[in-house]
Amino acid sequence: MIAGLVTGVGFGLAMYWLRFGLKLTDVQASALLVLIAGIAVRVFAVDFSYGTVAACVSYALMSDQGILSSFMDYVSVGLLTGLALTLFSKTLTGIGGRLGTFAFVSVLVWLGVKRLFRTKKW
Amino acid sequence: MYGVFIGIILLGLFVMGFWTRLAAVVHPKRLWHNRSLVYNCMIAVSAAAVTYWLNIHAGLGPLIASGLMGLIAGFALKPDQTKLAYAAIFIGMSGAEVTNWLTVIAAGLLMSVVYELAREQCAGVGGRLGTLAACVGIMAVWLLS
Repeated sequence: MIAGLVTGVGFGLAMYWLRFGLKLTDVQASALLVLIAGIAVRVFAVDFSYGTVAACVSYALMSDQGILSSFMDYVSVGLLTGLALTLFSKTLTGIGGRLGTFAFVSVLVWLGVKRLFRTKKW
Repeated sequence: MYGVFIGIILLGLFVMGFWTRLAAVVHPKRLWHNRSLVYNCMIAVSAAAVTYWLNIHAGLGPLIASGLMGLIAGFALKPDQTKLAYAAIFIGMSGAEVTNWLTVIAAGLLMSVVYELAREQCAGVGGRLGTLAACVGIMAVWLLS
């Protein structure tokens, strides 16, 4: 579980760099991250679940900059997405879009947290 | 008991997030107004079908297939068409044990309609396209089963 969370945060940071560092669009950044994760899983024979975490985090962080923009947003959503995927790994197996569904829930949960604490610092 | 407690907290936060005013930019032009429905159907069906072929028949797996197709769509299509294509690509990530060619094509057709109908719902929230794809995929499997 810890590995899933760390992976989620790591890919969240990678997505932040792709979007704000390389100035890629949301689809380009997400597709590039998913492609790299997919190739890495094949080449280095890593557990496939790390690739799914990468894809799930990239889908969550496709959010508009008006919704998620800060570094803290990206790290937190990466963490939440890793948690959601770890907890519900057996849900909706084989259905296309299941990772996006987890991503969607994670983003809305994070927006709920932000609304609950109503802080502008994040 | 502990899991139920966490689940209730997460559900509450989800509902709060859902009702948050979202400062997203919605594309002002509707796809139906400047492109024909047939053209959008072609984009969605071809994106879903090619991704499914790369995923299952070419043996690349869902991650490489969707990443490859997403990059092509991201650089080749216009922004509004890119989102539709990427939503359809998620359909092509389905496993062969759940879907077949017929359901993938039907889901692609459904996606082109559902995407347009739901374009202002939760716009800008990450994972929205995947959620639409999952809903459409489940609908297609249910309708054709």
